[in-house]
Amino acid sequence: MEHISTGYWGQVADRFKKNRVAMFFMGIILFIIVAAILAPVLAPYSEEAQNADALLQGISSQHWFGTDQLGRDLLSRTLYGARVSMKVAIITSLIAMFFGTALGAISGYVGGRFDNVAMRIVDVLYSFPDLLLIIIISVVIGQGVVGIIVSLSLVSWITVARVVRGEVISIKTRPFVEAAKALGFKPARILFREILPHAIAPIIVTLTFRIPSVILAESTLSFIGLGLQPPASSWGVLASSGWKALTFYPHLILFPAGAIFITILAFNVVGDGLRDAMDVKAK
Amino acid sequence: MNKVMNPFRAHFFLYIIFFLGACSDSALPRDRVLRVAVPGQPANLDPNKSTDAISGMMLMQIHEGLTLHSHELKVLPGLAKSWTFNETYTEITYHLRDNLKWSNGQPLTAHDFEYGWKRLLNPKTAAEYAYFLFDIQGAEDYNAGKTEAQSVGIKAVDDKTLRVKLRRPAPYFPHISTFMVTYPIPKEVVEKAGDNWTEPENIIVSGPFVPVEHLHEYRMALKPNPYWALGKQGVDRLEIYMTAEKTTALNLYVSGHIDLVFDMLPMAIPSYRGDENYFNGTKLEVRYVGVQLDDPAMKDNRVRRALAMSLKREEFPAVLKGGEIPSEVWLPKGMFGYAPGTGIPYNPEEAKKLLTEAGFPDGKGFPKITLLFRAGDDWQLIAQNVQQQWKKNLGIEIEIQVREQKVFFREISSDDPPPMHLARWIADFPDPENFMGLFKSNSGNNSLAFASPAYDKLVDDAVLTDDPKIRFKAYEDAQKILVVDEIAMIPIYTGAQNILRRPDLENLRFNSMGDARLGKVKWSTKTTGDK
Amino acid sequence: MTNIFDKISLGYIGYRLLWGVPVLLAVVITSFIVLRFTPGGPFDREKPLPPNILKNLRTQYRLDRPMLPVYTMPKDAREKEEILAFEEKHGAFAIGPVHVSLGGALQTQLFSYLGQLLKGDLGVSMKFTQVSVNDIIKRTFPVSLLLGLLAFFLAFLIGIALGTAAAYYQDSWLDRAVMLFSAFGFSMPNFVLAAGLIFLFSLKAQLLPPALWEGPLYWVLPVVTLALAPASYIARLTRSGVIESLHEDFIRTARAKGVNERMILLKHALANALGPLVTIGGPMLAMLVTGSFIIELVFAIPGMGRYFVTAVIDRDYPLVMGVTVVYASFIVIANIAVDVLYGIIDPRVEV
Repeated sequence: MEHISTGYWGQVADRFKKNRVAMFFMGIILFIIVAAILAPVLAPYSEEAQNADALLQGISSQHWFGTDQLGRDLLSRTLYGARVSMKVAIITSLIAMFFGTALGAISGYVGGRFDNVAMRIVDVLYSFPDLLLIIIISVVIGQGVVGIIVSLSLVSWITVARVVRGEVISIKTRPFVEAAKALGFKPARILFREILPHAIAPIIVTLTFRIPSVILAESTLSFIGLGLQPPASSWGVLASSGWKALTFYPHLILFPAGAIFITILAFNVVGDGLRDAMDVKAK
Repeated sequence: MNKVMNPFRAHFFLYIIFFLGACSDSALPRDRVLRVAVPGQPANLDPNKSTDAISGMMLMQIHEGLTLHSHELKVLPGLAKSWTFNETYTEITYHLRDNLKWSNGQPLTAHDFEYGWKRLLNPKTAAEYAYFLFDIQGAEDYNAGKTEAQSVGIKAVDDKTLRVKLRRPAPYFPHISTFMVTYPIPKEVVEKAGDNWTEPENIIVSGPFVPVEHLHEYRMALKPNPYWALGKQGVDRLEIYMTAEKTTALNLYVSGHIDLVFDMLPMAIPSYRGDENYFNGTKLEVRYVGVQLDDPAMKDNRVRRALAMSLKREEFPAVLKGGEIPSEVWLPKGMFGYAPGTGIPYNPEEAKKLLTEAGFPDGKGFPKITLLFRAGDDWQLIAQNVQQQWKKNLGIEIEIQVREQKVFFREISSDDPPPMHLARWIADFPDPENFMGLFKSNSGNNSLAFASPAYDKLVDDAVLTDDPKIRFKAYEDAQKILVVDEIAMIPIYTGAQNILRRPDLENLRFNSMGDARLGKVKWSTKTTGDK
Repeated sequence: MTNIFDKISLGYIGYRLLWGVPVLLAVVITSFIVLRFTPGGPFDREKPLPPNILKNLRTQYRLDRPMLPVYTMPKDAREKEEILAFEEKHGAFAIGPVHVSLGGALQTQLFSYLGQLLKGDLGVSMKFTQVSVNDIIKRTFPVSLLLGLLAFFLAFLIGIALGTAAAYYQDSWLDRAVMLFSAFGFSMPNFVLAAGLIFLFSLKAQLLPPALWEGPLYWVLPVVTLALAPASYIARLTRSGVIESLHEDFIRTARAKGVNERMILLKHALANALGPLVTIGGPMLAMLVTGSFIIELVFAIPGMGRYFVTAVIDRDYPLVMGVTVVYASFIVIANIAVDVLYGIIDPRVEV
C-alpha cells in the first residue's frame, strides 16, 4: 500500500470524529449491533413464548412494547428481529460488495471484449425484473434467512459492479498505474495492490448505503408475503404484520417501524459522514 | 427561495393533472347506488370457467340458476319454478318459469341450460369445475373425450322443461343447480363474441344486473336488468370494487367510499364487535390438521389420539378473532349432520398418558415431525399456535414449515407427503355429501392415506335414504370412524364470515355459503341521506 | 449550446436500440426457463383437479410439450405420457438420458412462445382464463406509467428545488432542514409511509381519499408516497452538485462580472449539477414505473405491478412473461434515453 499513506486514513478518522452528528449515529449503530448480539440476554421473554392470556396487549410494565396476536412480547421480538434484520442486511451487502467489486474491477481493468461481454450480461440482469428473481428464489430455496440473503444479494451486486468499474476505469489511467505496468508487474498485482486501494473509499461508502437499502427491500418483501416466514422474524416481518393493525393496535407497527427508521437513518447519516470524511464525490 | 423557477414548469404539470383527471363518479343520487368491495379480481366471469369465490360472488349478481339458496340454505325456485325426481332419484326434471328472457329481451329457454351444461362438460372448454356435473349420466366420459355430447343425460324436452339423467341417486342435485357453473349460457353471444362474451359490450344476462363497465382488477359497474325474472332491483347502479388489501377495503368503508365489505380485516374485528355495521356469521368451512396415516411417526393410533386430545380449540378463535367456532368434528356448524360432541374432547392429562403408553413419556424421544402449511397470515398463526400447544401439553417439539401456495398444494398431493399439514375444506354445496365424500377411498381430493370400506359404505348409503334420522346417524357414525377411531385428521375449527355493511341497507342477507344476493338490496327510506 | 440535432447521431441511437434486442431476448429466454423450473405449477389447486380436466388444460396451454428441443424424460407418469405422444408425432432421438427433438423444435414451449411473441401475441392468462395478456397490459401499463411519471416529475420538482435552495444557503437552518427531510425520505418502507399518510390525511383530516384511482384528488397520496424517497435522493444529489459548482471558477467569474445571482444559480450552477441527475433519471424512472406494486396494492390502483406479483404466485406463465417483456423493454429504453440525453447535456460525451 505504498501509494496510500497511513496519513490519509488518519485524516479521514479525524475528519469523521469532528462530525458530531455522524458520530452520534455511529453510536446508535453500535448500540443496535450490541443489542442484536445480546438479544438473548436483554430480551425479557423468549422470542417464541406465546401467552394465550395476554393477546394484543398495549404497552405495560410487563411488556414495554406490548404483545402481538399470539401473546408474544414485542420488545423481545424486536430485539431478536434486530439480529435477523442486521444479519440479512450486513451479509447481503458484503456478498454484493464482494461479487460486485470482483466483476466490476476485473471488467474495468481488463476492458476490451471481456468488459463488453460482462457489461452486456449486467445489462441483461439489470433489465430482468427483480421481483421475478426474488419470488422464484424464495420458492426454490425457501423463505428463510438464506433464501432472502441469496435473492437480495443477486439483485444488489449489479449496482456495486457498475460503481467499481467506473472507479477502476478512471484510476487505471493515472500515472502510478502506468509506472507499475512499466515495472512489469503482473496485472493481478496491479489491480489488487495498486488500483483497488484507491477505490476503497467509494466502495466503503457504497457499502454503508447498501445496508439500509437491503433493510428496506427486506421489509418490502415481507409486506407482499415473500419475506421471512416463522419461526424466523425480522423487523420487516413485524412491521408488515403491524401494518394491518395500524388504527387498532398502533404499537404493533410503531416499534418495529421505528427500529427500521432509526437504523436506516443512522446508516445514511454515517454514510454521508464517511463520504465527506473520505472526500468521495456524491453518487 | 420562491424566486427559483423550477426547470420543469410547475404550472404546466398541474394543468396536465387536471386535464387528465376526469372524474367518473356517476350522477345518480347516493341512495340509488350500492358500492361493494370484494377481495380481488374475479378469475373468470364465464360461469362455465370460473372456480373462485370472488367470481362466484359477482356472477351471483349477473346470472340466475335453475334453483337458488335461501339465507338458511334451503333450495328455492330460481329460473325453474319447480322440479321433480323419479322414485330412485336418478332422474330430475326442472320446469322453467313462464316468459323467461335474457337481458336483451330474447327468450331464455331450457335449451340455454342444455347448451351451458354440455359446454361445461366439453373437453374443449377445459373447465376446471366440469366435475360438478359428473353425477349426470355419461358426463365424465364425455369430459374425458371418450364419447360425444349426445350421450350425456341432459335434454331440453321443450323450451320449458329440462330433463337430467343421473348415474347414481343424487337427492342433493337441486343444490348443485344453484352453483355458478350451472347458470344458463347464451349460445349466440358466446359463438359470436368468443372468449370476450363476458365483456360489457357483448354480455347478456339472466340475473338482476347487467355489467356496463369492467375495469379489470379495479371496478365493475352494473345496471339493472329489466327482464330479471325474480323481481325488481333495489338500486339503479351496482359498483363492485376489487380491493385485494383488506386494510384498504376497511379504509374505504370508513371514509364512505364503499357500503359493503366482504372479508373484513381480522385485526379490526374486536373494535367492531357489537357495532351495527358489523355482521358475523358461520361459514361452511372447516380447517383441520391432515395426518398421513402411513407415516412412521403417525402410525400409532395412540400418538394421533394424543395429538388430537391436546389441542384446546378455543385458542384458535381467540387468536384469529373472526368468531370462528371451535370444532372437533368434521361436518361444520350450519350443515345437516353437524354433531358437536362426537369428536375427541380436549384432555391434556389423558393425552400425556397415551403418549407415555406409546413410548414417549413427557414427549421424550418423540421424532421431530413436520407440520406443513401454506403462506398466509391466518395459516401462520394457526401453525404457531398448534406447535405451541403440543409443546406445552405433550412436551413434544414439532417443526412447522411454510410453503408458497402452489408448492404446498403440489407437496401434499405428491407421493411423499409430509406427516402432517394444515388444510381446509370449503363447501361447494351445502350438503354433507360434499364434505363426507372427500375422504372416500375413491375420492380424487383425498390427499390423506385414509381408506375405510366401512366409511365408504356409510357415506354411500346415507345418500340413498329419505329419512333424516337414518341419514344423520350414518354421517355421525362415519365421522366417528374418521375423527375418533382412525383419526385421519384433526378438525380444529369451523370458519366464519366477517362483513361490514351500512346498517341502513335493507334485504341484505348472507348465508353460510358466503353468498349474498344483491338484486333486491336497497337503502332504507327512513335514513337515506348523504353518507 | 449547439443545435441538438447536430449532436445526436441517429446511427448511435439505432446502434443502442439494436443492442437492446439481444438483451431483451436474453431476458425473455432466461425468465421463461427459470419460471418453468420453479416448483409448483399453475394448475396445482387447493382442490386438486381430476386427471382428465388437468389434461385438457395442459393441452390448451401447450404444457404437454417439452420446454426446449433438448430435454430429459420427466419422472411424473402423466408428463411422461405427454412427452412420448409428442415424440411420436414429431420424432426424437436420445443420447443417454438426454432426448433431442429436432422435428418438434419449433413446437416446443419456448420456441412456440417466441414465435408468438414475434407476432406481438403474449397469449392468454392462465388465471384470468379468458383475458389476453395483451389486453391486461394495455389496460394496466398506462396506469403504472402515469403513476410512475407523476412521481418522477414530483420527485424532480421537489428534489431540485430543495437541493438548490439548500446548496445556496449552505449550512443555514434551511440546509439542515432539507438534509433532515431527505434523510427521513428514504428511511421509511413505502407501506409504513403510506399507512401514516392515509391515517393522517384520509382517516383523521378527511382531506383525501384513502384509495382508488378516480381522478387527481385520488392521485395525491399514492404519488406523494412513491415520490418521497426519490425526491430525497435528488435533493441530496442536487445539493452536492450545486455546492461543488458554486466553488468553481466560472461562477466566480460570472459573479465578478455582476451577473445576477438568480441567473448564476439557475443557469450555471444548476446546469452543472444536471449531469448526475440525468444519469440517475433513467434507472429512477424505470424503478418508479416498474416498482410501484406496493403502492398499487395499498391504494387499490389498477396498475401492472399488482398483476405481476399475483401472477408469479399463481404461476400464470403467460402473464408473468408478458409483464416481464414490458418491464424489460421499458428499462432498456429508459436507459438508452438517458444515455442520449446525457450526451446532449454533457458536451464531453460523444453521442
